[in-house]
Amino acid sequence: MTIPDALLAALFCFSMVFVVLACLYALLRLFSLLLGKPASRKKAAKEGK
Amino acid sequence: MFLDALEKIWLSSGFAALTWGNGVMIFVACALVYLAIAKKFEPLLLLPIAFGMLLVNLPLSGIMGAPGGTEAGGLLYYLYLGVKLGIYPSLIFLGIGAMTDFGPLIARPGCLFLGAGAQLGIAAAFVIAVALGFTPQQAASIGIIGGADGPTAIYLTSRLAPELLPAIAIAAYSYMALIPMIQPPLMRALTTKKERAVKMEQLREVTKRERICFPIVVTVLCVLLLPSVAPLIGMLMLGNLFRESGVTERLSQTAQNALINIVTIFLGVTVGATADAETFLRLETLEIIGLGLTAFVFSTVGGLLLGKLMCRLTKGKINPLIGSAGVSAVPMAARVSQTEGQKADPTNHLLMHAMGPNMAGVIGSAVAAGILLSLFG
Repeated sequence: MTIPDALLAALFCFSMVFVVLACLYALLRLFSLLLGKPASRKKAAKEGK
Repeated sequence: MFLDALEKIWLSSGFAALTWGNGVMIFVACALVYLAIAKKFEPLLLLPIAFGMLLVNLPLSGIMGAPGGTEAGGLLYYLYLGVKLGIYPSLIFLGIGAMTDFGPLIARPGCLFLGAGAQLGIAAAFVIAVALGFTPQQAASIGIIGGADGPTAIYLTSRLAPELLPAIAIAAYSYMALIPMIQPPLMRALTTKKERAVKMEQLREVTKRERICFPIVVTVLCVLLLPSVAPLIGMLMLGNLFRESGVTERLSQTAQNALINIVTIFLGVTVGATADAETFLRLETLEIIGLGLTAFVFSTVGGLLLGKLMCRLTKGKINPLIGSAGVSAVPMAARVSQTEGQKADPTNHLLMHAMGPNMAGVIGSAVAAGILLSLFG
């Protein structure tokens, strides 16, 4: 493997890690909207806020 | 006659077969035992690794010998199959998952990017290793040391470059133990005192539903995107589901105590037993140790730079010191962030905030291993 090929492979690997974790980030945000907030709203309502 | 008998005993003993290489390896093993016991450098793994190294370098024991004809193989030969087949690293991930609270990461999912940034060392060490003449498979295995995750490094190396396993395992665990020495100078060099003193807002409460959904979501997404990462991420998340479901307390306790301890013993001893004089005493071992340090440095720098970027983007709400915890050495890297934050401001408590990137680093390094496996496996 030549050094330019290695650089490309390294860049690909590094950016793929970002892509996968960015997808995970988007999913977690979605789940926090779906599952996180209602619970905290209920709690806030219980506490009379 | 008496002298003949003595000579026969001598010639059939291990002493007669001892080479200078064995002598050096026995010395290295004793040095590692010393570091594990006296200096407490990752003793849970370094001690069994060192003892495995000692055992395999005592000639004629056949403890790592392959079976031949009607003769059975050595004890460690069979135990090593767990490494070779990628069973032990995955079982260790099961235990880690059962021990880990992903709450800080769920509460602040932006930490995932810090975990991704801290994989920079993998890419940097890979390129340098290729430039030094290593094959792409070997370079990928060396690069993964930058993920600062022992089981992931062992898993990838056992698949791509098993001949480098002892050097890579020892380098990975030694540098993980040395994180409190490697990271602080870089943290101080790359951040200002004002940045280090940033106090972060308290994390929001995470609901039980979120905690239960998290391992399922991560598994589905990561395994669909990168099927080769299934053994690591799958086991990590199964362990976490045991913990968070609240209905499998016994399984969770077994995974995080008895199982992980048993597997750690087998993994350590057998990895150490691959370090015989012939495979370990080479120039490339020194190169791997040097490249491992380079990988750790670049990973820390990557995490810190991304931490600085997030600090700018959030107008000073993120302390960049938590970026260095993106290397996945759990929880040592998070503790280093806490210590450095407190040096800048004694009332600053970063530990829980740094646990988010720390967990993200575990996922990030497993994902990186999956990508490297897809590319070069």
